[in-house]
Amino acid sequence: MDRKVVFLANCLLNQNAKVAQFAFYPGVVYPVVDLLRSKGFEVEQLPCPELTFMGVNRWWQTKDQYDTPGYRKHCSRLAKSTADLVEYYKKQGCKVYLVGLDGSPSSGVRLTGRNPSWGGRPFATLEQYQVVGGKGVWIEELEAELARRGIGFDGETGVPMDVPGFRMEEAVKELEQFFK
Amino acid sequence: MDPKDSRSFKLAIVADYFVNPSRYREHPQNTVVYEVLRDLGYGILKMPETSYPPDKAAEYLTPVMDQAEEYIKRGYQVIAVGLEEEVDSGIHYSLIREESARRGITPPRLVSFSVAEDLSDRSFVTQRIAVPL
Repeated sequence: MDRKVVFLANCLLNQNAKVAQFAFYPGVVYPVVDLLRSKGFEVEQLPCPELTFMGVNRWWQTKDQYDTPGYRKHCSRLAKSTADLVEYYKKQGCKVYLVGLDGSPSSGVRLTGRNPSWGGRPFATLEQYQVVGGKGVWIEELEAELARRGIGFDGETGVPMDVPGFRMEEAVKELEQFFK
Repeated sequence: MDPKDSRSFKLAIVADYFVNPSRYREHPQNTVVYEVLRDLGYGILKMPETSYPPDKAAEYLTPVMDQAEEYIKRGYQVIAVGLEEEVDSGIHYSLIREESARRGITPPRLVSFSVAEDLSDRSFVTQRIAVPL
């Protein structure tokens, strides 16, 4: 049987990485992680570039705010050691998948969050966070590094935990469907 | 932290074996250590599999330690969970210690299990993780 490896957004194994008010579980997002493990996936974890750049006490941010040369260089550096691991499994003939964090300015795969007017003195409401189609900065940089090596994920999706109104039951159903 | 936020403020740097035992056919195939960490609310920082080249694993460790340092400095509890039968407990613990010293932080407390122990015994595993040695 083919080995299947899934790279998870850091916070799916560690909710402590989340920006304040977005940690919905104490630690492991077990409905997602346990589902994938029960389906025979070997689990790997992406680093959290937001945490290593802005720290655990960072403010809410949009993709517009993270889309800077400095943050992209930070993500690009992190992407090298992550791409090494992806490449390691690809060379072993494994199928390698990505499950990101949809709605995230960094780790979104299908959806990210924007608002070009955010900045200055911190004030933000959830309503101002505009979820739009597209990838987060970190995923863009990781995929650019993989593309430079001539590889890519065999499939990718996201758990929309950064999308207002998120419901875990629906996310699990969607994930089951994706990996059917 | 905001009362709406559910984080535990507890993390564990974890050997790959406990999350992906199928990669280690020579060891018992149970996942109780992972389940106990999950149920106690620990966030997991997973290390790569032990056959991953050491130079690459050392590079992988740098952002893991960047994360650990940030958490420790902010008062989060960080432990390391390894397996005695694997080199350096399967988590490059000597590198974690060296990196911790270089960064001026206390190294995460090592909880080291052995396959000679009953790793299917949830109460034993829980006690080892929850109680400082």
